[in-house]
Amino acid sequence: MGRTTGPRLSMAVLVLALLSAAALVVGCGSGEIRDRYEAEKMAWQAGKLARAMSTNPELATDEMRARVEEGYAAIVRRFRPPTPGETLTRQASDIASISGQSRLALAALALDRDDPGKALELYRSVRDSYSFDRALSIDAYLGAGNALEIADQWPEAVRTYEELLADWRPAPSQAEAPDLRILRTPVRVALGYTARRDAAHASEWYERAYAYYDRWISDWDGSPTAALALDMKGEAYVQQGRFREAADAYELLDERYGTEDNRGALWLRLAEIYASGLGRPAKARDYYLMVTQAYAGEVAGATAEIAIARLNIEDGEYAAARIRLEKTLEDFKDEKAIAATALQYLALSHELEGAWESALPRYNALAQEHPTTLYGLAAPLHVARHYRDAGAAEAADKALARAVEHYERVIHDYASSPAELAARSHLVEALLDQHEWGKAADKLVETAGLFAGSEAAPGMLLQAAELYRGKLGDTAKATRTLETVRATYAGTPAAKAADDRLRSMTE
Amino acid sequence: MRLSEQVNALLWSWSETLRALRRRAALGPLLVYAAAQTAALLALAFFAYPPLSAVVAPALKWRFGERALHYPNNLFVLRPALGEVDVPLSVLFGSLTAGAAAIAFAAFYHGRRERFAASWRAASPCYLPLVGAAAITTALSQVISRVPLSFWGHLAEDSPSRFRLLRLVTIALVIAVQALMVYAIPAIAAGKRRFGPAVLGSLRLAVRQPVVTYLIVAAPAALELFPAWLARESDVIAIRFSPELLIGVMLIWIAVILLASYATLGAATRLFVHSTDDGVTDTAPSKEA
Repeated sequence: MGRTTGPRLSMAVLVLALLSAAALVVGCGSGEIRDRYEAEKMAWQAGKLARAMSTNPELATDEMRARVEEGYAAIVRRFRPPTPGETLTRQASDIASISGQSRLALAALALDRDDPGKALELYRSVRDSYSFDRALSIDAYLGAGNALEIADQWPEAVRTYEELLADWRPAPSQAEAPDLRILRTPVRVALGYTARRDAAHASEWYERAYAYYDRWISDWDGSPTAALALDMKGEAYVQQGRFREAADAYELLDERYGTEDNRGALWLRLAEIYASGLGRPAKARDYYLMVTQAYAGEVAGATAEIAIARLNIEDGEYAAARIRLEKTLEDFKDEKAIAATALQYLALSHELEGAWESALPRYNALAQEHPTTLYGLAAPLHVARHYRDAGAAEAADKALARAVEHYERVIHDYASSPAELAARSHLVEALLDQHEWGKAADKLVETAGLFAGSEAAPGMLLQAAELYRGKLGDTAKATRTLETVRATYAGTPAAKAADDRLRSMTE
Repeated sequence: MRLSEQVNALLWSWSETLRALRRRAALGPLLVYAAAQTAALLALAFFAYPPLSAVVAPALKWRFGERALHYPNNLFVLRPALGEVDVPLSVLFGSLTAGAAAIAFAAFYHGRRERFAASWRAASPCYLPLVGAAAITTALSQVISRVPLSFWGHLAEDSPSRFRLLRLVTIALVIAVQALMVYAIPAIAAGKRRFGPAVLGSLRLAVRQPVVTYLIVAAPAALELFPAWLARESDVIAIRFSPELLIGVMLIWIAVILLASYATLGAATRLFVHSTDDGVTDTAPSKEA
């Protein structure tokens, strides 16, 4: 045994040593695969929590936000951005991309924390280091512009958007899909100036937008970019209120780039422009009819049917409107939005015709069957106000009580959903109609607390403060509420309004 | 052999296997094979780390594409990747460990305890016939499970119910092939027969007692339904919990394969030893085994 075991063992050890050495020599160069893998793993873990938070924002806690932030920060700390001009391997490029995405995620989190300065720094770092990565670079430009807007540095933001338009084409090539965000940028700037009541600059930027779109429409004729540029041109004209030019742009889009997939939406848009913008209902009706014929049985077709019915109602052709609406309701009873809209116009057609007894069951059905839609939420209050306007005080009181009950039920059944916020808003209106000032004010404060992040929250608190002071004479409560607005929404117009009111109350 | 006798034989072979398990007889060689599978699994799971990245990463890319080199895709392909590694591993190494285990089982059924090293030494000279038997079984199983899918794979989308039926039929046929060959390993390793007589003897014994033979393969194989179900839920496990748990799923699978192999090999060796002790077969087994 000793004679055979010794050499065998030696041979085995030698083979193992050679194999290990070879593997180590070859393996040394594979550190990039490991780094990329670890970067992907860290990004997955941070991203998983971030996705969970964005899916259920109301469940997101500060601790979760801190964990997500730490996850992305760890990636940024470990994986440095590439230096300009550096040649990257496939793995290094992937790692750089993950690091860049993490910087963007950190910047977005900083914006959420009302720290536009930090966000801007991160966005700029990505913009400066990732010129080789089109998607990241564009995200960084747009993010930086947004951060500057939030920081109220509008001229700087406009410069950033100008740089974006100069540095990046809307699409990598004629054949590829364009980036809608780039094409929308000139209109975004024009709208920004409009919001700042700077009509001259807004007008200048609209003209720049048209020139920009015309350039891509002619340079890349026949491409997806040209089609989207034409679409954006139409949208810009609508924004500017130049409906004739908008209709021309969309009609050209229909002629040059219309397909079965996009014509339904395009014709509906044209019909809307002719109906609302140009005051030509006959032409609008033609477009709606084209949609009903080409897209029968589809949502676009149903939308057009309802729109024609709306035009019928405007013309006093109630019976014709109801025929269309009844059929649409029958065919699309499972499409909530369509069914609720059809039901709303059915009720309205009866009401405008003076047949309230026929309208009432429709409004009741709307509230019961579609309680979370805007029409469904508005219906109970509408019924109560109809009785009030008709001078039927007793019926109005009963209808208001039923409306309050209905909204409370919706709030309970659809807690933590957008419908809850809308139902609370209607409940406050119903309570105000009942002259229940105290209950309405308390409900406003409660709602603002529950939906502190919503745009409506500061306005609700201001309204509550006004009710406490004006209707209830409770200055102490009004002061506390205004102080809350001033502290919670510091730096916003609402905080300024609260400050002004507090000052006027003490003077 | 009558059905009632076959049922009796089946229950007896399982009780004998259970007795062997209680004494931990023949467990060593199968544990070594499970360790080899675990090593392969870990190599696939941690492919990105040097020195594995030099060897496993190109292999993964070759078989499953660039996507398999990214987290967590590499964990999603663990199951098919380990399946591919297991084919050569079971033929080249699994056949030897099965042979060693069959020798240890046979010794236990004859009232002796075979040492781990001794069973390896006794199985080593039979390596080539053992590989031959394992290769035939594996090749036939692969053909049966893959060829119908290449013809009727479209049924997965066209007619899911027919596709499920096709899968059931192919699984039943694979089990039938494995059942026909199940006595070959004990015959080669414990019976010291040459390749041809061992395979023919296995076929004869399987045909003589078809029910018991089929069930000693099929029943333990059914244990794999649990890890197979877990693997089907990979997406849920990875997204709701953690992708790393998929390594745990595969470890459960390896443990189940270990148990199933133990049950099948233990029962097959018991029936083979019994048949030779009763002089059912033409050649008496070597008592030296």
